[in-house]
Amino acid sequence: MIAGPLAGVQVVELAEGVAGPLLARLLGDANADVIKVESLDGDRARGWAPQVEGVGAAFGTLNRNKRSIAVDSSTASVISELAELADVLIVDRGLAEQMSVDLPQIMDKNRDLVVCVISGWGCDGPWADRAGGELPSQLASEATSSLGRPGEEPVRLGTEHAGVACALYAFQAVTAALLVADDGGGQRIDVSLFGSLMHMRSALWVALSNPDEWWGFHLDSYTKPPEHFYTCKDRRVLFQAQAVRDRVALVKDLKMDFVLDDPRWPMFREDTGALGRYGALVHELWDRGLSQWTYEEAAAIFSRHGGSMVACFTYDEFVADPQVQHLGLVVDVMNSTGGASRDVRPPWQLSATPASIRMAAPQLDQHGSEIREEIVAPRRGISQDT
Amino acid sequence: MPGPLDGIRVFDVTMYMAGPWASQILGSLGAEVLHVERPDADWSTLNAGAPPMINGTASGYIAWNMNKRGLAIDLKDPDDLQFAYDLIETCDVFMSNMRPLERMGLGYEKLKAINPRLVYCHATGFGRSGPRGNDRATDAVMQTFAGVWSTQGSRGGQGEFYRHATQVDATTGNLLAQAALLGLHARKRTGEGQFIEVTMVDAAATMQLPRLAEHSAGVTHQPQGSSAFATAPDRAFQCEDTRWIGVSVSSEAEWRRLCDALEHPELMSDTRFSINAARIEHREALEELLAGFFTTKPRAYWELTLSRAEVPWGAPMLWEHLRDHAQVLDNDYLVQVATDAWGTVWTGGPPWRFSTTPARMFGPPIPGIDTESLRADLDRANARER
Repeated sequence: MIAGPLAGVQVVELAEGVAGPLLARLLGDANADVIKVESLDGDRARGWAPQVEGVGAAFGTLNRNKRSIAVDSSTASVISELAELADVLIVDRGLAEQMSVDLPQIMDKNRDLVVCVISGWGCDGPWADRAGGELPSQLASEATSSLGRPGEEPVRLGTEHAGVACALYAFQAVTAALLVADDGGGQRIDVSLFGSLMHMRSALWVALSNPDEWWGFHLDSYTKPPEHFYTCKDRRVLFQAQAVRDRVALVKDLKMDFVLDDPRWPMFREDTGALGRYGALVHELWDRGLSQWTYEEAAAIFSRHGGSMVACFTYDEFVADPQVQHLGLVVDVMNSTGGASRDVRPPWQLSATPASIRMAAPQLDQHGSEIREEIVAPRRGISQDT
Repeated sequence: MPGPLDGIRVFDVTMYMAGPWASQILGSLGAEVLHVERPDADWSTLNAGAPPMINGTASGYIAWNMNKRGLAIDLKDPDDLQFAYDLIETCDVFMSNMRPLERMGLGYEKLKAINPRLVYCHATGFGRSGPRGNDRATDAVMQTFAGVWSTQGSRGGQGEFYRHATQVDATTGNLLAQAALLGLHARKRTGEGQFIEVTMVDAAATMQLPRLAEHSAGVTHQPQGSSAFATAPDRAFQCEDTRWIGVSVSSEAEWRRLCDALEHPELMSDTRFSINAARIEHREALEELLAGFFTTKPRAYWELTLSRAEVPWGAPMLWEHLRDHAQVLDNDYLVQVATDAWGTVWTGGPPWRFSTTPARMFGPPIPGIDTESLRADLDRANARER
């Protein structure tokens, strides 16, 4: 197998849940050697639902390409011994405190080490010591204001958006710091779930700064009603009409002449669908028109006029879509008990030094003894030399 | 100390969001980014970007083109194209999310011949071939196609669109920035650049990794308001003062601490709630019980109580809270940046804090502002060679 871009990089992970494990998994996809250190209880995500062969389903994808060693408070010195040999140390701040990990001492012993500390709210400020999490970050960064209705129960994003974003940013920082660690030495990097979501919404903060015209698809998400897409005869769809050359002709082809007499026609003509300024106002007109057609029929008409339409795909339809199959997005991975499970390919396609899936997620302490041997061996070597 | 990518030069032929976001990240990490715009601004992101507009400049151009230099090049003009080639010879990274680059004379084979060390990063929507290979993708299209909607929405309702539509784009950009960093790592070992592709399909899948893993395990997700899929109790509860608080329990230790904080230790021994998998199975009963507890006290009471118990919580905040909030400002999660077109704007600060190679933020360039000085630099270098 051709070595991936991070071949030879040694990573030690003391993290759980989504952010830290995904960061280490992505480094592993890029061919770094990742050792996952867990407490005797294991990563909390091992207990998440649904359970597949006794392990949370998400744990598998977040922890492939790793080996696992479990330690308790009496053997926690393994962490600093591993860190002495590593290029990267990833820690959840809370877990590191719980395990009494002495970061300054570790960094003092290994001057080239890149240490990434993940927290809920950031390393400074009044909440620095407060426990954070996915929903708390989504609420505090007002991400939830772009879903649901004001005043009602908040609607969370369907995915662990803060955890994933934090992992992706941390990956950038760690790989950038590694590029200069040979010359400039290691350093500490701090990232947080909350800070990551704050950054993901940067376009909104700019738009809110001082617009001449208080409108923009970034700005009206607070006040718009929930967007449930458009309804054809057979299913829900989203269309793109920005590039439609002649909107009157489109409307006539869709047998929607009634909109030409509607007082909302000027807004309708200007509107560009769900993201449009008047999207909510004219939504019902589109629904009335589109309900005369099946998705296939309506998509063909949009296409003729320079627009486009996509159907609201379920996950079943998404993973089965011929394009997704063509890309090879979903792959079969042998799990640690010998069965096969489905996973998603590494996210970058590198033509010369490909990323790869080499190992399924480990069982707790599956590699404990071999890793202990690896720590001991170099020490024996040192004592023999001296 | 300069940023970790100090000395790295990026040729940036990107537009709209995903590509500019990626090069902006590299610029924040210290790379010198040469952002190309066409001399006549019709085509440029200045107008095609996201409203609101000020002085003919879209918020999107401001938000996604910080930390760059401005280069105006008409790639259809042979002299300008040669100028581009001369610059690309001096660059380490090439970034694009446009097509067809071959026809523009910027295909990988052509640029590799000019500069074999060039790390060539290309973002696409659906990839470069296959049944949807030519389809245009936007954030909205990808949310619809990749089932993002299917996991979020009000309890028991239809899935809904995420109205701050930029997050698949930003995730694509984050992966593209990673691709450049991985290419630079591989180049350290091989001495050569390579072609790297990132698709929006991969980005949408990366965002949703936990959900897709659950789906592979047989779960059919239904929108469930603020409740998490994998963990319980993990949702927003309404307090006595009608305000909402998000409470996120994702480990057994947090569950025990929550029971203590609620002064209902008997819940711990209730077999329905003994472990996370059981709590998920009996989620409705559990949430109904807890909802009853939370309505007895105002939110401020719960904030303090949960903080003391180290149970993760968060409250919904909005822009008007965030821009003055100590947690945000102490960590530089919002920063003010001077721009030419918009004056001083707020935006998300760097999502990482480096202890020795700090990230930076400066305003977006007036398009083409650095063209002449870059040309003069090249002329001087050429004169020295002769």
